[in-house]
Amino acid sequence: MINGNEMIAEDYDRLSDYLLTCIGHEKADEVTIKSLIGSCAEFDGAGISKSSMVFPNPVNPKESVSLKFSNVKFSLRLAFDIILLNPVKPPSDKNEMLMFMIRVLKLAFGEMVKILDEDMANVLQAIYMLSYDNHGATMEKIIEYCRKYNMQAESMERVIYNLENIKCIELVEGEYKLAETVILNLKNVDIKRGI
Amino acid sequence: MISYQSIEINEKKSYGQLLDSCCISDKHIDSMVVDFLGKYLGDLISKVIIEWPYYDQDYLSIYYIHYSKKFKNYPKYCYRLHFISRRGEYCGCTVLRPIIIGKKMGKTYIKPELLLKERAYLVRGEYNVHIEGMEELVDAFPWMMQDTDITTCAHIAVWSVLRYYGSRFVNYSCPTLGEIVENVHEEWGRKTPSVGLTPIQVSEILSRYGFYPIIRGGNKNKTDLLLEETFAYIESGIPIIAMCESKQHAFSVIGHGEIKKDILDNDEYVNKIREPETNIILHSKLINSIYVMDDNCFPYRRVDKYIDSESDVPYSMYEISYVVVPLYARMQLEYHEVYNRFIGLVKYGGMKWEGTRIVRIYLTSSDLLKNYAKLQENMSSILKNIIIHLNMSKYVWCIDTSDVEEYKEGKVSGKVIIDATAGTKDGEPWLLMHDKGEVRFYDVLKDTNEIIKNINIEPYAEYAHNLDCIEVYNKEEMR
Repeated sequence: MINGNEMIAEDYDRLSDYLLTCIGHEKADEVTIKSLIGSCAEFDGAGISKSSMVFPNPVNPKESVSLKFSNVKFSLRLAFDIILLNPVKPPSDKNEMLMFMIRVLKLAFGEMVKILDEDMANVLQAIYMLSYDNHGATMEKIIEYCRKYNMQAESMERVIYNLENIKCIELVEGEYKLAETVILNLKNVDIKRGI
Repeated sequence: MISYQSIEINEKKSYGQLLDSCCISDKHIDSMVVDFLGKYLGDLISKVIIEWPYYDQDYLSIYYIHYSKKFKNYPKYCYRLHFISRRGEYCGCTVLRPIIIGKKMGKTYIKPELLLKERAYLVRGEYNVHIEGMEELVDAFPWMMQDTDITTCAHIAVWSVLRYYGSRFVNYSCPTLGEIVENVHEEWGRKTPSVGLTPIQVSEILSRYGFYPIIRGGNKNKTDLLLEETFAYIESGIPIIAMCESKQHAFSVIGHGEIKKDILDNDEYVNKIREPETNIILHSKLINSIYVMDDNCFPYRRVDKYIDSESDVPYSMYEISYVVVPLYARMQLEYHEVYNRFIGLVKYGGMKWEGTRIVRIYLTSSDLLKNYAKLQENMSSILKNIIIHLNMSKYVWCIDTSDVEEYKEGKVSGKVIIDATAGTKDGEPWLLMHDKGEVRFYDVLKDTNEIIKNINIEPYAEYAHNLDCIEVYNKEEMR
């Protein structure tokens, strides 16, 4: 549906294509990524009016493309279930998917997340794996879990501070828990047309 | 005169003979049919018998309400292909319709054994096929492609479920595809050509055919709960209609794949799937695949929780957004109500179900349950006698519980039977419950709860009457 200079998109394929275009994914399986997005993304209010993508001129394919997806509700815990609980996939594949997920978050929250992808992935993975039986992960347990990644306590605290800021994790009674959902606002990102 | 022509199949390429114009008119067949048959049936089939003409009631039903009104000429008659295996068994048939390219395969009944790659647990019915004066029986689940013009994926999913019920139970009708299209409730637009159905429309069609359907889903935060619920109804032998918002697609779910009991040895995984406070693990958490009849793919496709480019279908179980469950009038209590009651019972009910326990929740008829109890050799005679003589509602919810070792051996040491007609607010829906040393049951004639204590109930075999466990044919032997 084209409206002046805007092309309104409510469908999942376009969001998947957009993320695949913006984020490097050489080793990750595109079918898995599209399924992950189809499983976890939810367009607020039937999508059409809330989530949009903007094309300057669809007739001229060489122009850069400006895309906008706003208020996309993303089930973060479900995404981690899908990525980390897969009993069939080898750890390297899980890691690729996890890194893709981290880049989606960094794309959505931009300057708010000034930390290394690997550090963010390690801490989120620690919090996810250590949370069960209605309990979250204490700072001590996270430090213990992340020791195998050679992370310093200081950098871990900085990562946790950043993740709390973007509301990917929350502190409840001294324990960190992964947020059930995050709201992604992927606004006006200029990319070369490839969609 | 009706003609029957045979072609021999020696290899996958042999299906190419079907494209020969002296076999089948090019209005009825295309290369997609040949590719599908070659890919999925391949050399497991030794002979294909081509029947012409074949009057297919489902095609004729849409022919009269739609294709007969078109300017271009659409023939009334179809072809039917019959498949004979290398063992000489009759394996099923498919109808070829004179409609657009890529959608020519009509009503199809094929034995699942031919198409599965591993053991599966499926619902299926028995269908009579008449060929050259003989009657053949096929144990299968109905399938066909959508024609895209008048019927969409959702129509076909509804048709397959209704056809299954109509063929298996005398109190349900067997509507044609055309009748289903005519029964769609459309407030704003026209019925034909169709652009698809919503879960509400699907539910309304099912209501018109005597079901009391429920719609579940619509909240991605609760996908886990939706899958648990879906598994409970599948375990009950109820085929359901699933809708996938991200793919704008609908299909029927008819069973599940292998139960991965080895997951119970992985502590990290067990921590994530065990219910907090009660230490229970739902049996559904150990199953990573369902089987679907999807009109875009060949019958009996496996849909996994986790997919990649090698998968049969381009969507995962987690992408299911809605399910419509065709329930019988006397199945009133819903899964989530049963589950919540059970959690309360585990916490405060006083039954001795200790340690980590695996729990399976399903619906069944009281007749089948009594029959199952009667056949149990290891079941305590006191418990067996109570179950056989207990007054129960026509359908009951059952909850089987086992410890990890018992579960791995397919045994049960605790059971709860719940009145499926109980109301949402009914505080005492229990008909029977037991642990290893005590049975409690409700006597409806006296309106009292009875308790028998200090008995010894050894673990007994789990209930397995709702789904057919289908082993894959030994394909090397067949070749």
